[in-house]
Amino acid sequence: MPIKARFNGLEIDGNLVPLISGTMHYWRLDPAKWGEILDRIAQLGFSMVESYVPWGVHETAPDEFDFGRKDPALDLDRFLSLVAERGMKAILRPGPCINAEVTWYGFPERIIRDPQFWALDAEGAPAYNPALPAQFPAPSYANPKLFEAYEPFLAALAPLVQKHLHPAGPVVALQVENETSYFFRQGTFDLDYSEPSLALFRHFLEMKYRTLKALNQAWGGGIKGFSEAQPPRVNAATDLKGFAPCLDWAEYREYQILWALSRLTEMFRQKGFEGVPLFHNLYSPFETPYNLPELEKDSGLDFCGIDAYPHAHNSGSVLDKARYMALCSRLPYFAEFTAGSWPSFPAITEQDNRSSLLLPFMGGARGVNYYMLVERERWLGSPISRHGELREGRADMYKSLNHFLKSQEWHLSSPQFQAALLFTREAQLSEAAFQMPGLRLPLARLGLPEALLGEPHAAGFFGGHEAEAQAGPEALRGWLDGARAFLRQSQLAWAPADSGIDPAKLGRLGLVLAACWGFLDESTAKRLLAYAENGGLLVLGPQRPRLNQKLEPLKSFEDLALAPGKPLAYGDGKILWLPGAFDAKACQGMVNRSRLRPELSLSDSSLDHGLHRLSGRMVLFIRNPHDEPRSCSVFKEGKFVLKPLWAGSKFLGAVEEREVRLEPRETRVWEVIPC
Amino acid sequence: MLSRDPRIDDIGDLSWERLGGLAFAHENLARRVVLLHRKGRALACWDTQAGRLPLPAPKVEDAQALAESLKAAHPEALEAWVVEPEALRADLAKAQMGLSLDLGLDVFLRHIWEHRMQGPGLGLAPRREFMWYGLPMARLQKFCDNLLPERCCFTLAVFEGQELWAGLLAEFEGPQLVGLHTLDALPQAELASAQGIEAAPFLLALVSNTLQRPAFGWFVQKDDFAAWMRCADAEAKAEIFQRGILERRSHFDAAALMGGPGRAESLRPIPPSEG
Repeated sequence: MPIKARFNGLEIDGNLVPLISGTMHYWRLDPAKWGEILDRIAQLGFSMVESYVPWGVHETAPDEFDFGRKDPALDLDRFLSLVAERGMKAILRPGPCINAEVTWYGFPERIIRDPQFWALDAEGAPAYNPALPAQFPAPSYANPKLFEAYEPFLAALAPLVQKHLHPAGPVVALQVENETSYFFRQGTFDLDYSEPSLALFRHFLEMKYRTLKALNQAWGGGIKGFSEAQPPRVNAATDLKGFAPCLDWAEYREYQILWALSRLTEMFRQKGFEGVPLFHNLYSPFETPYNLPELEKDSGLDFCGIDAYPHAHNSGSVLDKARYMALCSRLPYFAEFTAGSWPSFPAITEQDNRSSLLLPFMGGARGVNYYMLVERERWLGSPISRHGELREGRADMYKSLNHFLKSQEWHLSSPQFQAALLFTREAQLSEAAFQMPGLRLPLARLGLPEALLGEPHAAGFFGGHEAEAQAGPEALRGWLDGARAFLRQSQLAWAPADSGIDPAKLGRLGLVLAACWGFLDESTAKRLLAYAENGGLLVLGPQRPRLNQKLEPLKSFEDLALAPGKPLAYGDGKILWLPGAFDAKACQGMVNRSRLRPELSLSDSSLDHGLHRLSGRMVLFIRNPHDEPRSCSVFKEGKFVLKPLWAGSKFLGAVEEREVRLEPRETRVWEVIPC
Repeated sequence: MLSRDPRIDDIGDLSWERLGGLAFAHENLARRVVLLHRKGRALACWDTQAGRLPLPAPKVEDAQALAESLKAAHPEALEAWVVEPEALRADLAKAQMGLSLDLGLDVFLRHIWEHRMQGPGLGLAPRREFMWYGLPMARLQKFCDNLLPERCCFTLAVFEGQELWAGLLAEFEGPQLVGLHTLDALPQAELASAQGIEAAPFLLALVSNTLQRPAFGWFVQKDDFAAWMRCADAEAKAEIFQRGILERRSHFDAAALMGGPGRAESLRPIPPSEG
């Protein structure tokens, strides 16, 4: 029976198995120690182990591979047999890219050195990835030859993996590629201008516009064939016809990732990796060009996770990612979650790991892979050393966490949300299409915020009501910040989302704050209107959507008699238009007149909280994001007591309390018991 | 200088957090004032702590002069930048187009930096050489190219009073850095007896024996080292380094570079108590 990816984990032979695992790089460890190290992993309560299978390491000569015949450390067959002998499961990630701080990111050096594979920047130069230990020109993921070059490795690996695929063996899932991201070069007008990428861009235009006439109508004419369409290298648009190519290029950048992963996913299936889910992982951001819901919908992948390496001071980002995935992903999953860090990154200490340990679960993630559970060269801070020794403090932390997850049957829980901050994909694309042409990373490293990297002429480009006439990237980001502050203050349980939000989950929310700027796809507009019609409270800003995906008038919103700051009754719900800046008072006024109330609130709204249902019970997480201890009272309708379930790495007794105290950066969890 | 395939292991997270904290302080956390422009038209001015600033001038005629006046107007900022994004993209592309893949990453980045500094639309005040994780790379490279023996290990030992606060071992072969570790790579039981900078000979012998290569090193107090790492100017770094030695708070033992204390295998660590 094929393994299915479900929201709460993997369905294996009819049983729901939580997707909780830890990483061990077999080829970087002494093979004589593999068994002992796997035993240590099991001792920490893990029953699933994950590893990359590096193309560049297994390849000994072009298209010749060693899987243990010469080097025992490459004996993947033996490694997987040892996993199976212990009754454990395995997840494999065979690339082609793996990063893993391996020189050349897991590609064979011959691929990296061959200019035919290189992505090119807007000036025609190779795009060097300056990552330790060696810079290398990023390959282009629009190049079919790259995948052809990878194919022999996959073919050589296939029989070995098939032997160990469930149900015959322990392999229960495979990751396709790793962190496909233009090698962290996020600038819209940075990559990828290589010939294969330009060909793919033109293919994308043909799919989008179908006819040359339609393309010329959108771009302003003068193009004699799709093969002549040139991608923009800077946004100098003065009108919508000048903007259209920039928007198409921004959309294409999402498409290139989708195309590459679709192709790789198909290759995996063709090689017989059947019966197990295939997934991918975003390296961290979940805004364009990284489109998680689209990848799950159209690439053939079963699900897509996100990676997270938080320090204590920024661990709130984990909540954002987990909550986003809980609303927008089929299986909210951290494909890599910090268990230590790599040396060129500020060290993630045991205290950092401890402070973020519960956050994936508090946010609603269902699966977590701890990376690296076992230390290897170019890594620090794992709970298990390369020699198979447990590091006391760290090891206890994971052991205790696994005990908590199992004893509570945590995978059966469901996160509760009342509201969403929906950063529409369309506004993201409009913003991306107005990015300045420079490289984003060097500018961001100087400390420049996102909004400042937009073209100045973006402000007011789309016109509109006088209150929104100057709306641009800065107003958009300001509106999002205002909406976020409002949600925090309101104490409603909320999550970030985008246009790919699960429609069923959207329908269950009481309030949606939708950031719009530029255009809105007709289908997104209809879904938002249907949401309001069915009783939802919908807030729009900083701009009322007026254009659709073809940059023509948006019909769905045309007839709405929206007035700034005044809720409009729409079906059973309401629509509030907040042009320009986010008006928290107007939003609160609309909420006050509705039945929407926080299910539970804290006397200190600067603390984060998260609610979950678990087998009829209510579970409450509270996180103190501050550097000093905080105390707060918990308020909820009716009488109740709090039963502590977890604090740090310790279990507490059945103490009942409604006043809680949290140490700096601490997260705790309680069951809320009515009485 | 940096090998393409260095061995980076035995990294203790406490040491790495302490040393890394200082290395990243310069790269990421410093306060900056940045002015963006396009072909001389000022677009936006930003203080990384205070946020948006009014434009100091509508036009950028001399990027370097404007950076210097911005720095003078904002002395609290570590540095002031004037940047033209499109020109930066073009400069970087031009710099990268002719580079060899075989350059060490540090040499590669230094080359990019130096090329970037010559860009017409760019100003930086105070003007400085390339710092990488707080290290003046041009000077370090000159040192490695000219002074290092075939095989050796640089030992950094940072003390807080008598206590060993953090340390780093950098293994060199030829002029290349081939291995990086914290003091966690050394036998911990023996390391425990290393107290104060007087333990320098003992530590060097311990490193030589463990890593099987002659060792030289810098033994420095934490405050001096933190000042050295946070300092953005190579000349000022040199002064901090020399002052520490003159005032006997730190010690630099380079005997191994001059064929000094013999080969690693002939050394026996001498605990300070026996010295």
